Amino acid sequence: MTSANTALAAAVSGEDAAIYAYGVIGSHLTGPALALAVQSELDHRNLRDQVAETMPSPPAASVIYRMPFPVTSVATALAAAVTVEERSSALWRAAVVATTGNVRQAALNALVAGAIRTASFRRFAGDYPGTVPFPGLSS
Amino acid sequence: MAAIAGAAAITVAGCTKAPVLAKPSATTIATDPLGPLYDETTRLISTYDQSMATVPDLINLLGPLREDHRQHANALASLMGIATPAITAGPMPSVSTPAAPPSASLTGSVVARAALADAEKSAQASATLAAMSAPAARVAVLASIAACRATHVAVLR
Repeated sequence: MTSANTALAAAVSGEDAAIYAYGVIGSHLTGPALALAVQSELDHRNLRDQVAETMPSPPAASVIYRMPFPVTSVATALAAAVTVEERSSALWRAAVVATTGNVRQAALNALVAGAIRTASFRRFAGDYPGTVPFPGLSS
Repeated sequence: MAAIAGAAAITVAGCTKAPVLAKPSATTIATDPLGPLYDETTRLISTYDQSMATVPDLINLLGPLREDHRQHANALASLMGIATPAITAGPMPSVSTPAAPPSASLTGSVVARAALADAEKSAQASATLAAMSAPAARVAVLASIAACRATHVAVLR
């Protein structure tokens, strides 16, 4: 498997993990934050499907996922959403590096979308304006 | 040329034995493919400074965004193998100020935010273009800069 395929497979697996996570996260949110979580899950699902379609053997979703930490409140749900988006962004950033041409553009689009979602969830958590200089850079 | 490229690579890698570079080289900025992006970044920082001077109510929003750009300028300088630009940290939200969006009721605020959003949108396009054609050693930083600028557009609008 080439480095590009490896990076894309990792990113697709990250999308599956994010889809699972939003099922947990959304159950603790209401109002606009819940709407963002619902839209984020949809975005991840669409992205997973679009990229997987282009792969000869896309990775299968895992049977079991574990949240990064217990999600028991609005605050922990928002923190989990930020963590999920940061991890997903890091995977797409790696995919940008490993690819070229149209695939690189698609990976960059995914990184951009993830960065915007991450900043939005940070703002819901009270971190204003919620931006960071290098989205996708693992801390 | 090989020696220059080598020096840049050492600097980017953060090696402690990197050569001391005197100051940003006009020649390097003019010839490096990242030169226009670097210049655009420093101009953006100046625009933020002017906006914060004109509309101090926006410092809570614009201060952190300006700091993002200052870090971009430093990273681009590192990629190009030139000295870190002498751009000081700008004003940041005060500790006693509640973390809340500034009022958009003032015409000056609305105009400033719209102008900055337009500038950020253009800057995002520049970073995206640079990321698409950059070698692997540079693309990660450029991709993150493009993504950061997209978050700026989103929060300014």
